[in-house]
Amino acid sequence: MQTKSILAIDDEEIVRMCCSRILRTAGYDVDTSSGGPGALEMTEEKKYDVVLTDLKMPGMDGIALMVELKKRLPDARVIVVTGYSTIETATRAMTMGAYNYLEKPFSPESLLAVVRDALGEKV
Amino acid sequence: MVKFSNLSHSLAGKLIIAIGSLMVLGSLAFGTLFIHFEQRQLVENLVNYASSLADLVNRSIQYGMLSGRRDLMRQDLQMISEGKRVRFIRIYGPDGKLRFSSEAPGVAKAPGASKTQGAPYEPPAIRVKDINALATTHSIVGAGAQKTLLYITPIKNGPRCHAAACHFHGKGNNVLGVLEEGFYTKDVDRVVSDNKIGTALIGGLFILVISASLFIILYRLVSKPVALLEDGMKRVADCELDEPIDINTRDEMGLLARTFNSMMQDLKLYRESRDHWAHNLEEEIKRKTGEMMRTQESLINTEKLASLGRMSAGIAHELNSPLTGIITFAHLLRNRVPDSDAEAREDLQVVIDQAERCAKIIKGLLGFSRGAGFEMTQIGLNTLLESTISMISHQSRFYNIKFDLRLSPGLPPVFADPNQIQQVFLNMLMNASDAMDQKGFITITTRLLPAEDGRRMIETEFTDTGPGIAEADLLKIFEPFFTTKPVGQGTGLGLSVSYGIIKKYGGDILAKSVPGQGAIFLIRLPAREKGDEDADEKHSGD
Ligand SMILES: Nc1ncnc2c1ncn2[C@@H]1O[C@H](COP(=O)(O)OP(=O)(O)OP(=O)(O)O)[C@@H](O)[C@H]1O
Ligand SMILES: [Mg+2]
Repeated sequence: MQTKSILAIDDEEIVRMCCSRILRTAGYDVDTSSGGPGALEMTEEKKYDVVLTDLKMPGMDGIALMVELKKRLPDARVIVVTGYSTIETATRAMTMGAYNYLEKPFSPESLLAVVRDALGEKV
Repeated sequence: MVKFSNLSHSLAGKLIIAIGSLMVLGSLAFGTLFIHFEQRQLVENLVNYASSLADLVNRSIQYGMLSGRRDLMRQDLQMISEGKRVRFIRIYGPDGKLRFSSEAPGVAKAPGASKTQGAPYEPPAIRVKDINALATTHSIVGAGAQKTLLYITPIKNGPRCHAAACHFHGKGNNVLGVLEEGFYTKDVDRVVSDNKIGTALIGGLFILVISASLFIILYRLVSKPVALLEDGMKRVADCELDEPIDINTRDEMGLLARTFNSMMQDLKLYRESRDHWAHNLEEEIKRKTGEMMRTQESLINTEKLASLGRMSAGIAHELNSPLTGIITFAHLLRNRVPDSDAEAREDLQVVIDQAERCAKIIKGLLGFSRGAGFEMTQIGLNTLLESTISMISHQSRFYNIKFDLRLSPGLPPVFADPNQIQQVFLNMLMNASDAMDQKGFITITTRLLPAEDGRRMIETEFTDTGPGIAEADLLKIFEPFFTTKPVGQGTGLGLSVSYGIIKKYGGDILAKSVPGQGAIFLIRLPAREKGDEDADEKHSGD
């Protein structure tokens, strides 16, 4: 079975670190990006199965980024990672095509559960 | 007072001058008439006297003629002519020639008699056309001392004469001669001039007395009231409306004064009501301005609270990422710890649990800023206050504080989250304890306020025996971060959070203080009425 690729986008390094460490430990191929424009560049070179993205980042609006990602990677599933206070934005993102959302702060179990669900794997 | 220099211009002065002149004219006319009639009367008396003398002369002549004693007749005539006021007696014949005159030489009057003084009167020859047609006449001639009344009368031929033996005068001769008498009019003139002086004196006196009385009457009836009226009008013009005009007569002046006084009264009332309104308007404007300032303040406070909420939400949000890190790496570390090292695994589990607890606290904080997560129930404020007091009474900071609870029984409930209301009460009690240096009295009173706009409010009053709050600070204490306490002891959030809570439930919170006599905090919350329940149920349904 081919290794699934996951892209994690967050402006905070600690969140990127958490994602890559948890998902790599679980055996996934993980790339990270700190913002919208860089992430879009990366999608030119590589196809991702799941994209994890923060909604509140400097530089580019999370919703706009998600729409752009859906255009380039029609098969990829987008998971919105959000804080409690931006839960309304997450709901909106879902209606715009996001596959699921994950609340911060998250535990490794919940992250893995959401990612596996998105990949269609058995939880 | 009337100024006498203005008398000729005053009404009284003019009236007196007019009436005085009329009286002078009247007295002159009356005096002249009186003198005229008096003179006529005197002249008439003289004429009567003349006629009786003429009678005497006639008789004397007849007697002399009939008896033939002409000497006797002359003697008689001379005697008569010496009578009082008589100047002369002349007798003319039917031919007009003088036959007898008392002034003839030898029959001149005694020297010294004033009557004879002056130029002798030259008797004119009387020309008589028809002596029988001669009538008795009198006239006044001459002037000054020579002024004389002439009395001319015919000497008639009586039956005794023409029947006399001498037959000198026939029966056909009616008139035998003419008798002319002259009288001095000096007496008449003197009496007249005396009377003239008397009349003038009496008239003058009369005019003087009448004028003086008139002046007094006019002064009292007109000038004085007019001056009072004038004074009153001047006062009104100067806006002095307190002193009415003091005229109490029943005449037109009194009526005028009364009308004027009532006008003054009206004016005063009008001015008072105007002043009253002006004053009230000022008060009203002050009140409205105060209200506006308070509204503005509460708006500012609300705004401050909102920004405080935003800030705490932001901070909470920022904490999410580090917490994610802590949780994740604690997990990773734990998974690497061999199963044999149970203690290390447990330690790491503590880190994970505590970090997750932090996450929950943050969620709660974010929830607070959204106004979610409350439990609205009916609260009895009296019970809540009692349980709050018993809860804190075990804290050391309240050991030396005595509580006086004056709770009015049977209060309607309040609909709110009891934890929040308790938080407000705790803030009040802590502030009071801080202000009193942890010793003193706190009085808590509850009361039901009378309904306003159909809503009843329950008021809870906290009174302490601390130093109170300076007037300048009263407006600021509800601001977030306003504190007078040293750094580390007060954040200045207690009252602003309380304000936010009470306002949220439609209540009001007020601070009053007389510096030096403690502070008073009034917390008003709307009472929950019977009909409110349905509305609340509907509300909690959505
Ligand atoms: N009962 C009181 N008597 C005198 N001053 C008071 C009283 N209550 C409040 N104040 C004044 O109001 C200020 C603000 O009170 P507030 O409760 O908002 O903040 P704080 O008590 O200073 O700090 P915190 O409550 O956040 O610990 C206080 O610092 C104090 O000066
Ligand atoms: Mg306080």
